[in-house]
Amino acid sequence: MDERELYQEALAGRLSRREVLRRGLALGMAYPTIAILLAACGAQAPGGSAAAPGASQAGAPPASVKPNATQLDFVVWSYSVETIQANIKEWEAQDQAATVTLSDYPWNAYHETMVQRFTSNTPTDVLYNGGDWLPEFAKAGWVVPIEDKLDFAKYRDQIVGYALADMTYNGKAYGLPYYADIVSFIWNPTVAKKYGVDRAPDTWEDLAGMATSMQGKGLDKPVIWEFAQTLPTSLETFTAMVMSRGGELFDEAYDPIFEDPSSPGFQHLEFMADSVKKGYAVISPHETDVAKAMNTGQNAFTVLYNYNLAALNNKGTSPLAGQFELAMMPGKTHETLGFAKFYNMTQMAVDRGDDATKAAARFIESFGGAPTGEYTVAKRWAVEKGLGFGQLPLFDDADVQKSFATWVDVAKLKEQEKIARAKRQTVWTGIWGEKMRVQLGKALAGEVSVADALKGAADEARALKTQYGA
Amino acid sequence: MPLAQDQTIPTAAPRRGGARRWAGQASTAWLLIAPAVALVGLFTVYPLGNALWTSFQSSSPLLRATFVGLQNYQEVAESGYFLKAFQVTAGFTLVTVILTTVMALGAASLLRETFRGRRLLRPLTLLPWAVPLVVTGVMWRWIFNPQWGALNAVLYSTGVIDKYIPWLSDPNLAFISVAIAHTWSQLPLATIFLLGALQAVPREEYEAASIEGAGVLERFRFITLPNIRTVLVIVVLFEVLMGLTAYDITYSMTAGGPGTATSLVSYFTWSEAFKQLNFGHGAALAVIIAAVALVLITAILRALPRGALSEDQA
Amino acid sequence: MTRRSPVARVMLYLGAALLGLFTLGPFVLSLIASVTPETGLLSFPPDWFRYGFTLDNYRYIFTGEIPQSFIVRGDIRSMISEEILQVPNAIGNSFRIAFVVMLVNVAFGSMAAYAIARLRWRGRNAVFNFLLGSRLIPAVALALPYYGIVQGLKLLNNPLALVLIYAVLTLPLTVLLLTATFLRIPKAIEESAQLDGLGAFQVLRRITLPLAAPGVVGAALFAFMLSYTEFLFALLLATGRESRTLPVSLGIVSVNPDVSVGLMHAAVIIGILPVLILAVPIWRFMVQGLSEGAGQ
Repeated sequence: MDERELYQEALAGRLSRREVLRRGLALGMAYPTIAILLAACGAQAPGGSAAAPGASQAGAPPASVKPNATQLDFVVWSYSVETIQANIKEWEAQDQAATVTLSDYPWNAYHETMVQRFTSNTPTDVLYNGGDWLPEFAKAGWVVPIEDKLDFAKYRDQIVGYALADMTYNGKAYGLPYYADIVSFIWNPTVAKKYGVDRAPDTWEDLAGMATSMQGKGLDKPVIWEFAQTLPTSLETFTAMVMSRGGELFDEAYDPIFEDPSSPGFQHLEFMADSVKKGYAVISPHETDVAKAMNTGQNAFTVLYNYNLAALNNKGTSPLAGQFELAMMPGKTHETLGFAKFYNMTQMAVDRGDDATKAAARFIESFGGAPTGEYTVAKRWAVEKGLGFGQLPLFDDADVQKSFATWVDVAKLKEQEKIARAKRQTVWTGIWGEKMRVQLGKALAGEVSVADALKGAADEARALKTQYGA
Repeated sequence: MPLAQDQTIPTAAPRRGGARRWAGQASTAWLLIAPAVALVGLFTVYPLGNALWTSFQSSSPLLRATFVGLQNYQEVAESGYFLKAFQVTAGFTLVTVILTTVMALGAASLLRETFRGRRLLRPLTLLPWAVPLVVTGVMWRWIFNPQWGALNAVLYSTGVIDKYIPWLSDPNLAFISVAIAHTWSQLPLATIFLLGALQAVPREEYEAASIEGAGVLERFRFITLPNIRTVLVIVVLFEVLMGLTAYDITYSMTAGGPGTATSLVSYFTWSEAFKQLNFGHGAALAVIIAAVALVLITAILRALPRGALSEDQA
Repeated sequence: MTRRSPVARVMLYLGAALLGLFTLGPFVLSLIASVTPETGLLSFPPDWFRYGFTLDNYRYIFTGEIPQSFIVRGDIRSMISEEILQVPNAIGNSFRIAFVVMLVNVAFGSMAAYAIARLRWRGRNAVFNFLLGSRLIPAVALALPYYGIVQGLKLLNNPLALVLIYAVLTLPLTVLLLTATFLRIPKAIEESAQLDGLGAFQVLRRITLPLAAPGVVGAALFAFMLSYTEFLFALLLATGRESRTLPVSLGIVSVNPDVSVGLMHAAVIIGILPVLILAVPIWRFMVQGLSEGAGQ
């Protein structure tokens, strides 16, 4: 069978996933191409789920799980759920002592639906969690540290710094990484060159100068910012840019440090508000909208979560795919924000007893760790979907590098990630974020002055700190 | 009046069993309404009670709940967000009610006339109503997107504009854009209601009036309006309710921005309760919104002719 | 048929054209987007039809076959949304739930409306106002308590939960509409039936409902539509993949980075097609039912 026949057979659903993998490897096809075929024939399986016969091992009949299997409830947000289900099936077949029921919620309502689930004690054993919600959930007693439940010591050094920081609360690590990523400065050198700019900006002031000159040459809005009052990502990208100036929003005591006009936080908000006022920047409420806008060639610079670069350079849908590049964050120190999403065990799982706790721990380790010595699940996310990862060994993995190289300059990415760090967060910073984003939005739209906006945000931070304790 | 008079019940002739007509109408009535009332009751009384109760507490999953009386109401009322959000919502409701009612009247008047293509156009104007609001948001978001939207593309290619219009990035334009999208989704229902009402206006009255020399405006004011008053009031009432509780379309299109130009009180309420984990504030806001809605609706219902809606005729 | 001046005629057809454009324009645009490659839609200056048309998006949603552009242009990533493949299934869920809610509304709603419109009993006004007033409570105040109730009844992730809640949300309006409808029916026929010895239920079933058919169908359709398009509670209460409804499904993919403009609109068109087909032939019932009954 040659490659073309393999394509046809796979897409027509006549091959099991295992078959596709075997034949693809035999033909010497590139891993990423095999990955896309696997996804395609997975989707062909009846019911649209990825439960193709190939999920079992070595051609044996589907593994039957023991009748007394512990049942785990796993909650995620709705991204590539079929891939998750495939991963689950493989784990169930190998573990044999537990089954997993998956529930998923839309990403933009995940926080509140989890709050509902917890306050009403809906059975939940393992969930996706993020650094900004961890302090809240931990303080409320809903989730437990992972390091008490499995041998975390062997993973601690293998997790990249900002990911570990995001998963830690009160000195204890709460999970293993699902994915980790950074905020990146993304630009289109082709478009920039067309309007007279042939290098990436070194500082934000540099960017302002470039943008103004590009405007003069005919590009109306060279810069596009992603900002929405309703999305936590907007505050993260802002924080990342503040970090690139060597600053932060809070000090170690969680007091706000952005009210002073000479502080990096103040200066950057002023810069952004200015960019809108002067007319060389435009604001768009969602990262997917920004990605599409960049692909019309009307904008040349933006700041987004790094995985958007994969979407921008996606030849399947993007007209200008291949033109987008990562550049170091402009700003004095070029630092940026790193963050992680991870698998977290709940108090409910622990309350169910030893069997449940152990099963949950095994599950988490298989997904976020490397019980077999290889980070298979994390690697799959990286190679197939372009998701960043928090596990250091994967940085040197050949397949990962090869896959990433198709949409990003791996060397530059590594350089940027080296100086990425997690932001300071505590129990009330998530709640404060809701209010801060409203203030940011008002300042950016020119409804209030930068000083007033930041003063309002600082007052709110102080009030929350008093209410909740640092 | 088009409504049938509720006549008194004539004395019944002797019937089987000799019982009076449905002796104990009350028991029959309660039996008939039991399922509806039970269902609605369970899902109304408990949540309302719960909301009221919570609104008097400082309630959060992260802190111990304590009774704080009216403090939540005070904090919410004094908060800058609340005032601005109510302002924007009031403006939004006003604009959309006027837009929808006027357009629906126009559309209904149009569809009442006979013309070629009417049979096709009439059912088609119902379509926007079949679309879930979240989908309406998606559709109009693409239409109004400033960088790659359909409207800009069409206007640009036909030469109407030579630069894309910032529909959603300019505060005023954004407000208008979401108002248009909202109106589009509400238009079908309002049109149907008004069309039905218009069709019930006796044609003779129009003919008599035009014989006497009444112009279009006068005919409208003295014949159409009085006859459709009930339905018009109901339509306005419904649109007010829709405007006050609007959420999906706006947040899909602008996420409340730019700035707070399209930030409605509905998101603010949701945010307080579930994103800021302040159930007390959220509950207080919900009670306030319900109270405002109640006041508005009572006021609007006053505009109805007495007893038009279901009471006996005087 | 009144004579119309040429000016009036032009105005009429102009108005009709504008109405058509406003109402149907978005659908046409969506349809175009669903069959146009993203590379065309995102082109600037706009040149949508540069790359022709394609049915790849529809094919992907129904069969999972990856669009040609992903393979032909040699893309290496499987970065196309998996979630959007759930849309056809979600349509079925929404349809079933809305249908059951519709039946519940016709049954319970007509019973209640009959009691209010035709019978005399103390508490009639109170119940009527109670039913209507229940709609004034904003959804956000209902979210947590509803979640608690549904959980208590062990109906989480069960479509039955949504049927219950949608019934609660639609019954008040159904009762309002049907009460108004019943009041317009002349009592003579019902009364002669009563004289023949029929009880309330029977009169309702055999006489009132058939006479009020247009209004009943209108109210039923209204209840159906409300249930089919509801988003908030479907989001909170029944989000298991199998039981997910259409609005939630579409809401999820609308913020997914692996969904192109065309793919999104293909899902939109597929999602609204069933109700569009349903709504069109029932239009006449709708108008008749909600109107005062021209000439009655």
